[in-house]
Order: sequence, then structure tokens, then C-alpha cells
Amino acid sequence: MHTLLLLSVLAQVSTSGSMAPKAVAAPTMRTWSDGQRTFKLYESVTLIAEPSPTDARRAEVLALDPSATVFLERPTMRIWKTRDAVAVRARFETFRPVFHDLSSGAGRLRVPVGLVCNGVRTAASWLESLERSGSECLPDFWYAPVLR
Amino acid sequence: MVHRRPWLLVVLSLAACSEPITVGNIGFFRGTPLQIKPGESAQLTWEATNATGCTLDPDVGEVPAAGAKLVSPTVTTTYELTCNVAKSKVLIEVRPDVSIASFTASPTTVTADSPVTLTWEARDADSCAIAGVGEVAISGSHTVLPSKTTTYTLTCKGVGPNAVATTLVTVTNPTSLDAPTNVVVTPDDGMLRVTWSQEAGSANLYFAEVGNITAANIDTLAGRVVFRKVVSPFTISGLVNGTTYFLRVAAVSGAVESPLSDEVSGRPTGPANGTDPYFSQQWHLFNTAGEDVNVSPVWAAGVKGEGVKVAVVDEGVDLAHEDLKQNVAPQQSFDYLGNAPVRLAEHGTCVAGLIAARDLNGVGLRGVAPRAQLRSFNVLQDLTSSNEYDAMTRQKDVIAISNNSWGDAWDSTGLLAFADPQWMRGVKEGAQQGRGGKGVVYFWASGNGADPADGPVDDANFDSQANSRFVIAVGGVGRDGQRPSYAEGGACVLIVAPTEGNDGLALVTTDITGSAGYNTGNDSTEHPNPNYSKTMNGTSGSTPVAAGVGALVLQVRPELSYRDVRRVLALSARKCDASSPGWATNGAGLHVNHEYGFGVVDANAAVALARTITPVGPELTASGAAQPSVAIPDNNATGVSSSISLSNTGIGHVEVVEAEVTITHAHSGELEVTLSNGTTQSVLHPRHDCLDPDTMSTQCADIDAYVFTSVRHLDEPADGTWTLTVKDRKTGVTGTFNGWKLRVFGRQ
Repeated sequence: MHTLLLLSVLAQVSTSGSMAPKAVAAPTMRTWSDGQRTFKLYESVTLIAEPSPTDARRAEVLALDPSATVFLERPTMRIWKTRDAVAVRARFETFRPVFHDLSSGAGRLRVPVGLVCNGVRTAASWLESLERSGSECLPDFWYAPVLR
Repeated sequence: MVHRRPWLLVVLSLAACSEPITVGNIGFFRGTPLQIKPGESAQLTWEATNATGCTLDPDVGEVPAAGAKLVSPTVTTTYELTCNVAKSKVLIEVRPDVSIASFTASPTTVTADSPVTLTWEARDADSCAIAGVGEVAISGSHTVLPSKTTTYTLTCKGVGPNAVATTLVTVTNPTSLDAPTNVVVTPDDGMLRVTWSQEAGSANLYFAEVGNITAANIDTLAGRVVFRKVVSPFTISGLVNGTTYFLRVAAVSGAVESPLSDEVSGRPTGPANGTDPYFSQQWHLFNTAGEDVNVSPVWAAGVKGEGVKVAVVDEGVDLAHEDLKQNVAPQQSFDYLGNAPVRLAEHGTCVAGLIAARDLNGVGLRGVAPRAQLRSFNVLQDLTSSNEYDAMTRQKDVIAISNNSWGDAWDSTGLLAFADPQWMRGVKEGAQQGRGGKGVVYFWASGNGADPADGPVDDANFDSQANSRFVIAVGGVGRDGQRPSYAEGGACVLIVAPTEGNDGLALVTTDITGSAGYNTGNDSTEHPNPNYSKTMNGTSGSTPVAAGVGALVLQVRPELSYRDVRRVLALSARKCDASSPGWATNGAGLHVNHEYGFGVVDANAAVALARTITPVGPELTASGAAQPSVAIPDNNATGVSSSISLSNTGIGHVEVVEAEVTITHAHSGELEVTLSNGTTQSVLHPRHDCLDPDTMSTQCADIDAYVFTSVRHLDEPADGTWTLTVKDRKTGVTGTFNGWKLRVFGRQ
């Protein structure tokens, strides 16, 4: 069955790393609005999104967290599974948080990549895309497609 | 008889002047007007610099460096001005008024419905048309079958007033007809050629996959088609080689039909599977021992999706595939990565082949609509909110069918997944404004999370994309007529279509050329030709099969709206799995089942219904709201109910119902939510497992203004009392039924 997530490439790496192990915190809850309803999102503590993935950046991530694995890779987005997603995001300013619809980490996976205001897509930081959402602007989310 | 219409009181405005054509030192050289009739004149004007004189050819000779000259050519003439070495040209076109040299009928007296050949020759015409026939060539012939005395009118357009000619055919009505004789069937590759003799009129050809045809039983026979008012010789194409077909012919003239001829049969022959070598492997198209989409009779009638534009919204399609390239429009496709090489496109290539792999082309297999025009919108390569809107509305003026074998919410979570607002904006815009207001018809896979080996159970109603009132949600049925365990049902599921069933037999279709697709060429269980795969399955597989039927429907009735197509597919669907306890009869007498919708999509029945169905007309809506705010009794089979009464809505035929439900309950998976109008019940939210497989804690919490959709009330009246019932079927957590809103959409 050609279902579920596409191309889950797991890169097992055993080199020594530079990021010290730490306790993983509970997911941070954020909200966004479609102007009528407020939706909750839970930031993944382990998944982190790399837009426009490159081989060079792959090496940099692995240097920072040798235990990191590629959870999912698509042409415009690579989702890493790391020990500490927030720490990796702090190192790479272009990286964006990965959100789930549930605190358990189940359900749809979203990455805020911009804003759509009155039908026009505009650039925005991930935080801005959530906080400016409402009746006129909506987050432009990237989704991991599911084939059925 | 040929005659001319008097001059219209309209002065044709010809081009006032030409653009100057300057060579060297000629400032300008113009003609006014550029088009004249014989006997009329045009003025040539020019101005050259640095020249003492010029030559104007033909027929004029030496002229000053600047001047004007009136010319009266009798034929189209190119005038050339030469000033020193510089040259410039002006074309004066001489066009006589359009005329018709002849327009005749042969014979001029016939019995009703007999063939008559119209022959004509027009002169100096740009276009010609025969009233009741349509646009025709400038000169030619055309066969008509007049049912009554008819004056045929030929109108040709060109310069001057339209030329009009008429010819009269006198029709008589016989009192009786003899049956045709000498009926001969000549088998060919995928077709039968039929010839016969008859004394008068034309013929009705009764055709079926079984013998002993009579005029009375034809509607009950498998694969039946009645080709009406046809003439010998007649070709029936799109047939399956090796299958024996039967036919009889009756002469018909006016209200008189002769007895049927003796029955004859024929078996198309040729290379195996016609010229499509893998066609016989496609059980979903032709299956003598189980479910298929019953499409052969439709092909035999020449309906193959010609002219219908279908968008494959997916990861991409191998546009150069040997069995797709004739049906794809690469320049009309869109690459969301920007002309990237084909990659990760195996899923979309499989989908495209199920819809419209080219037939009778010497390679591969067939799609359900093997002459439909495919476009690839590979939005899954970069699936963002804004791209979802784009993919739903791209080319919405021309796209008739949009196939979507995907979702952006994961299956097998048991969660209610709100669709992205941009996606919702896109499908609403496409359905309401697309195709000149008739709407893009979106086919959407119901999902594969019905019965996962572990983890929560899904229902199509939990996915706001499959659950949208603007899409046709398609479930699955196996070759054995049973729902595959994975295929999601739901009150929103309209129909099911063949796909891999519980017997593990998947669909055979196109795959990426070579080894880059599902079929790498190294798997002994796969198709021997790596350009094809026999592993396509899931509701990803059933949805394009249904979408192909949608293309066939819109070929025969392109004016049908997305609402009409939804109704055609539901009313023509075939009951399967007759022993399923889920079958119910709704208030309009339609069989419907939570797992199968209205049944298996049937191409022959759908196309037949599409030919005659009355369009639904304007959409009417009615709505109501209630806020019961009542506690839901724990583990109670009765539950709590809230009713909304609708009256004087004017909706005599419901098409779709939405229930927007708000319930506070920390473990909402324990809830069963149903909607009833007293006649038909829709299970909107079955009680289901909703545990996180890792933590075994529940994932499903409050239902917050979630919109559930049901199509089960099709063609019932909207007026009456609609009751939403909420039952908590497990001891422990309790909650509150806060409120709900009802929206009913339909027609008079």
C-alpha cells in the first residue's frame, strides 16, 4: 500500500558529537487563528525543519548532533529528529520549528513557512506567521503529504 | 435552389491602412483599403527621402518620390515601390463577395430517418454552417437522417453579406418495415464492423454481451447498448478482444420499427488485449467474475473522455511515459519545484494511468477514460497552504476533473482534522466558479485508516478534506465486492471504486519509466515490464478509477455541474456486498451504506443517466442552530438529543448536509454522534479507538465546532425535524453536548 509518509530516510550516524545530552522539555503550546477559531499547536521537542535542504547543511547538523536522523525529506523541506530541536534551531537561523496538532506528537505535522494575507503570500518568521494570523492573514504551513 | 440575401445595411469596415513597410529611404508606403471587391479601387500613398523618383509595379511605372495613386486590380496584387535601392511592398487583396455555387440533397424524397446526402460548394467563404448540423467545410457533403420534411439551410460567411442557400427534403412515413437482412459482423482488433441491408429508414442496433436479445429485455442484459438511428456500415469500437458480443438490427422510420433481424455475434480479435498488451490484467476495467467499473459498453459507444481535462494533483507524473504521453499536455502541467526532473512521481504516474492511460496505441494498458486530457499539478512536492489553494484553483476555467489521492492530515489517528483554510478557500472557489460556474469536480480519497493493524481507527468524516461538501469522497471495494479492511467509510462517502481488496490483488497501471518507480525491475512479484506496476492500491487507487468515470460523464454532458455529477454517480452506483448489515434505504428510495456510500461506481449506468438527467439548477440552502448545553450520560445507549426543525425551505431534494458540532469531552473517541431526519440516519462520528500507540493515552479531546458532512440524505426533502444524538459509550470521562448548527444544501 502506497500510504503514509513518503520517503522516510533514516541516517544512522555514530560519530562523536558536540551537543551535550539534556533532558527534553515538554512541548511548547502556540496558537493560531483563522479569524473564527483559535487552534492549538504543539512544538515538537525533537523534530526540526530545514527548509531548502543542502548536503552542506546536513553535515553541519550532524556535526552539532551526531545522533540526529532524517525523519522525513522532501525537495523543499528536511525534517530532522534530534535530541533537542530548540537547540538545533538556535544554531541555524533558517531552521523552523515543527508543530503537531496534539501535545502527544500525534496527528498532522506542520511547519510555518510564511503568511498569506488577503490571498497573497508574504515572507514572515515562523513566530510572526502564527501571531499575525486572524481574519486577514493566515499562516502558510508546510505539510508532510500523505498518499492514500 | 440557391439565392442571395439582399445587401445588409451595414458598411463593412475594412482595414483603414497598413503598417508602413520601410526599407532604406522609403518613409512609408501604404494602401487604403487593403481589401477590395472586384471593380473597386484602393489608394496607394508613399513618401521617399533622398530620391528623385520611384517605380511602382506592376502596371504603374515611374512615379514621384512622394505621391498617391489609385489602383483597381482585378485579382489580389502585391504592389512594390522601388526608390533607388530601397523597396517596399503593399498587398491589395481582391475578394469577391461570398457565394454558394450549389447546395443539393440526394435523394430529395425519402422515408423518415433514411440517410440523405447534402452536398454543397461555396466560393470565397471563410466559414459555412448548416442549420441543425453545425459548422461544415467550405465544400463537402454530409449525411442527415431527417425525421420529417425539412428545408436545410446553408449559410456561408465571407466578404459581403452572408450567402444563404436552401434545399428541401420531403419525408414520407411508411406503415410497416421489414427486418434488415444480410447482417454481417466482421471482427477486428478491439472492434466489430457491422453491415446490413434494409429497404428504408435507418436502424436501431441492439448490442449486448449476452445473447437472446429482444427489444423487451435489452435493458436487463449485461453490457447492453442500443445504437439508435445508425446506418450501414457501422463500427463498434473499444471492445475487448476474445469476448463474444451479440447484436440484432431493426429498421426504424418515424414511429415504425421493424422486427429485429436474426441475432448475430462476433468476437473481436487481434493481438492479445487489442493493441494494449496488459489490458487483460486490469480486472478493475473488465472482470467476468467480480467487481469492475463496467466501462466496456461506454467505450463501445465511443465515449472515452475525449476533450475532458483532468488534473492529477499529486507528486507528479512521468509526462513522457509511453502510455501517457499522448494524453498529457506538458505545457499545461505545472511543476511546483520549477521544471525539476521527474522524481518521487511514481504515485502520480500510477494515478494518471488509472484515469487515462491511452488505449489502442500498441503499448501498455488503458485508463477508464483513455482519451481524456491529463495535466500534472505536482503540489505534493511542496505542500504548503498557499500551494494547496493554487492546486485547487489552477486552470479552474478549463479543468473538469481534479483527482486527489492524498491528504495533509495523517490517517489512522482517530483525530478530527480541520482542513487548511487556504485549501477550503480553493475548493469552494473551484466548485462554485470553476468551469464557467459549473464547477471543478474534485474526487478525494476517503483514506486508508479504517482498520489499522494497531493504532486508532479513522473514518472519512474525521478528515475535513474528504468530508468537504465540495468534493466527492471515494472509498474502496475489492474484486470480491467487499470493502478492503483499510478503506475508510463515512457518511460523507459518496461511492466506492475498485482497488486492492482483502485478497491482496492490487491494480495494474503505469509506473515511472524504467527502474525509478515502484517497480524497479528487480522484484519478481512485480510486473515484468518496469514501466508498469501491479501494486497500486488504497483509496489512492480507487479514486482515479472513479475520476475516470467522472470524465466519461462530462464528455457526454459537459454542461453538468459538480453537483450534477455527484448526483449522477450516486444514483447510478451499484449495490455490492449485499449481505452487509450497513445497507439502508433512504427517504428517496436510494440504497446507501456507511462503508460503501451509494455503491460501486458504474460507468455504463452513469453515462446512461448523464445523457438524460435534468440538471439540478440553483442551489438552495437552509439552516438552523441549537444550544442544548446538556450533560452527556456516561456509558449510556440512549444518550442526549437535540432537534432542529426546518420548514418551508423549498428544498425538495437534499444534496448534502452539514452538522457543525460542539461537544466538551476529554475523551471524545468514546462518543457516537448521529444525525437523523426521522427517515435516514447518518453516523457522523462513530465511537472509536483514539489512543496514542506510544503512551496509550487518549488523543481525542473536545469537538470544537467541527463540521461533519453527510450525503446519505440525497433527494430527501429538507423540511422536517433533524435530530443530533450524542452517546457516550464508555464508562469514565463525561462531557457536555454544547450545541450544533445544521446546514442543508439542495434543490427544489
